[in-house]
Amino acid sequence: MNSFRGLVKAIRKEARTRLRVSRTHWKEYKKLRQWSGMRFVRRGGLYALFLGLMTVSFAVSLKNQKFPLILLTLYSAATILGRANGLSELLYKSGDLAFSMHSPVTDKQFFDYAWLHFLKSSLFVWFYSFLAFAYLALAADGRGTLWAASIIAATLQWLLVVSLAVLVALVLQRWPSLMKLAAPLYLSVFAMFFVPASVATPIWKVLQSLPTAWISMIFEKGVIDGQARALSMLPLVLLILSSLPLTYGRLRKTYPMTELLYPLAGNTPGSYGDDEYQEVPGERDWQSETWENTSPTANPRIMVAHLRPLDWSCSGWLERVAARLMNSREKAIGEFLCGGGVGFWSAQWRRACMIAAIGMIAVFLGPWIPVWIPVCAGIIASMFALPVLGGFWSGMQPIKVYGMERPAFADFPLSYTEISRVLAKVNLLRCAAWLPIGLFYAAMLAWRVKLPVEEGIQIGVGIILIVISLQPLLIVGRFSLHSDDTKKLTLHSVGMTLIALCIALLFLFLMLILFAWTQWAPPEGRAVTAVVAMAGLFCCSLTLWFCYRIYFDRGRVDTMRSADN
Amino acid sequence: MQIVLESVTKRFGSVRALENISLTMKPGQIVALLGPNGAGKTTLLRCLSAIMAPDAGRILYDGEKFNRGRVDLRKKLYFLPDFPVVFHELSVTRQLAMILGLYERGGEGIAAAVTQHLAELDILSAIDTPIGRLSRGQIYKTALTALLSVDPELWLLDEPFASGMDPVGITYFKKQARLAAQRGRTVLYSTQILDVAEKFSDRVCLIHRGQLRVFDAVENLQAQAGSENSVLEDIFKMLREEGQ
Repeated sequence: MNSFRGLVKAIRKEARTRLRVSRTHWKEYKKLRQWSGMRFVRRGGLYALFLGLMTVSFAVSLKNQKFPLILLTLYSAATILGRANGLSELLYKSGDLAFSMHSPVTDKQFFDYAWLHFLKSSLFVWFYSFLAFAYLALAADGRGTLWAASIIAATLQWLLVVSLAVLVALVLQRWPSLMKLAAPLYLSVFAMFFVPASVATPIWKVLQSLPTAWISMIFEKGVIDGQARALSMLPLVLLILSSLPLTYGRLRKTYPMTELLYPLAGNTPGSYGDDEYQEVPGERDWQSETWENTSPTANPRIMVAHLRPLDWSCSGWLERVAARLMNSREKAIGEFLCGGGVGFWSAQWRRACMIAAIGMIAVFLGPWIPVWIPVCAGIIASMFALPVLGGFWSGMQPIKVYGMERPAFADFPLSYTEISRVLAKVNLLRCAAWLPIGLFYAAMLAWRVKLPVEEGIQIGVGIILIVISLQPLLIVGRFSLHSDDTKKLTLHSVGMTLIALCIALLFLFLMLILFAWTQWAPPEGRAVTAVVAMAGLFCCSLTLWFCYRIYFDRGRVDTMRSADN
Repeated sequence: MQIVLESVTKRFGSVRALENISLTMKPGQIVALLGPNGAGKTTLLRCLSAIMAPDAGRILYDGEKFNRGRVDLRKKLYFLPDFPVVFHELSVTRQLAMILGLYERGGEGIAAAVTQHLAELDILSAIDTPIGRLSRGQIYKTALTALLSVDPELWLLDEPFASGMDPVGITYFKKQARLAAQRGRTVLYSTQILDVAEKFSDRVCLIHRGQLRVFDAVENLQAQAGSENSVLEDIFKMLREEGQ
């Protein structure tokens, strides 16, 4: 809670005066204090700034005025859900709530604090809006009134987002599943970077139905183009803005809607909710044993049943095949990495198949469906089926304690090689499981865009092989993510970073050869070049995995680091 | 397990968390790790469990050099942090089974041992409860049950007496630690409760600003002090005055 700046200043002044008296204490103080700019960096300010500037430069490079507006509309829509969820989390589940519950603070005071935090955290919308509108103003003629209009429009956009976020926060209590829309919306913002400039106008037309596009429309058509008709949207915007005092009042009045529970239950690599508890496969067997009125102390047989390893054969087909590929030690490690259960790879594969089936229907419908729809369906299906980012592993998730984080596996006797072997087996199996469907889908897509079917299959094979060749790199990334290897400067860390950089550059170079050079190379040499490049990719990836293994196993790195936030 | 630390040093930027720590711990002892806040106790425990790697010096277990790659040695120790790693969705038994699987403990009698520990720690009724529904003390007891069931050669515990366990749990832990020491296990735990350290431990290892200041048997320290006050309290007082 930041409203005690005066007191903070006074304490610091007094304490520094006392510290200066002792040379030892002053030296220790200087060692321990943090660079004040670090707070900004940790709060993600630099990233956000970078993202904003990147967006603008991207839009400028495209020379299409619709793009900033499309990005702003999607970003604002995603932010509404994101901030609404943020406000809801802060009010009901946050560490700040835990703090306030321990302090002589009333619920209303905490609400006011959360509200202020919410307003501050949504200010990036103003910044991005201003960037988008200023770009349009600059592209028009850059006259002074347009700059003033940009500031007003950005402020209105921010207020619109705040108004709608509060409205959603009120609804969110009843329909928490609404939040599932946030991630696709944020992803769609990034997806826009890959959309060709020619489709900007149709996308913008579709997006105009969203309230987050209305101010942009007014600015573009009403202010810049001078079309009075566009100003007809203004009453609608004002209507939404006028709802803010009402929704804010309701949210404040009804807080807390449910009895506040202490939110910090403990320390876990994941969150827990009542409805999230999933039965572990095979657990039903133990529970079906009738042991009411029986003391487990008197009957250790019951505990034997409880303690036996998980039955992988009760799971999906991918899990069953994975179990056959693993020995008992690997299974134990696999269970740990999956958070004490068996993975859900079969379920993901089934989901991917369903999406691919929808995509195939779109392919067959041919000219009635734009080609980007089956392409997107294929990408989404592959994201589910393939371990594109190495898969989700609870046992490698961080545990945060007192500003430090360490991966869950760090506390147990698991080696780099053992964990890697389990990850590699499962991920390769997932790739193999998707291979036939992926290739068939690629062939269908090639047919749809009137390319030779073999070319489609070649591209499909290439993508799957690249995903496989990336696996050792991704495993290294998993180990590196929550270690301090990039946070400390030693001879070993510098050496390892240099090796990693060299290998990454070589990897990129080989990718370039694989995708670009093979197109220009003489036809008879293309296959050889592609095979050599692919082999090189595997070698690079495995070399990095091996180098990191030496670095990791010899204890040159801590499996612990200061948490970023 | 004999533990030897040779000039172990660990730095965080310009802060020296451990500076040239050298000591030898013989098996069959309960050692209290003491020191003011920020002295380097937890860092030492993390180095001993390979979560952190010393910047200089080496750690030897039974004469063998220890590092993260030595899973065989890591299976002989168990580090129980003040906030143990648990998966909140799992039931107590599932969590225990998973840890026993990782330590490859599944032989005859393990179920009876686990049951006994759970019963003694008064959490037997929670065997099918998801860990997320347990209190902090109960979660710690679950993790302690895992440690007791694994029965490693080296027990490393960070602040077990400030873990939220009730007196039943603390008494049982003390009893089991004493029995383990008699079986030749080494128990190294950090604490700030000097009374406990003085009465419960065989030796005291005191770290101050990353440096090893005292590593001696409690009786020796008491004999040297000769005052009526707690000898450890006197040492802490002395250290504080030294820093002023």
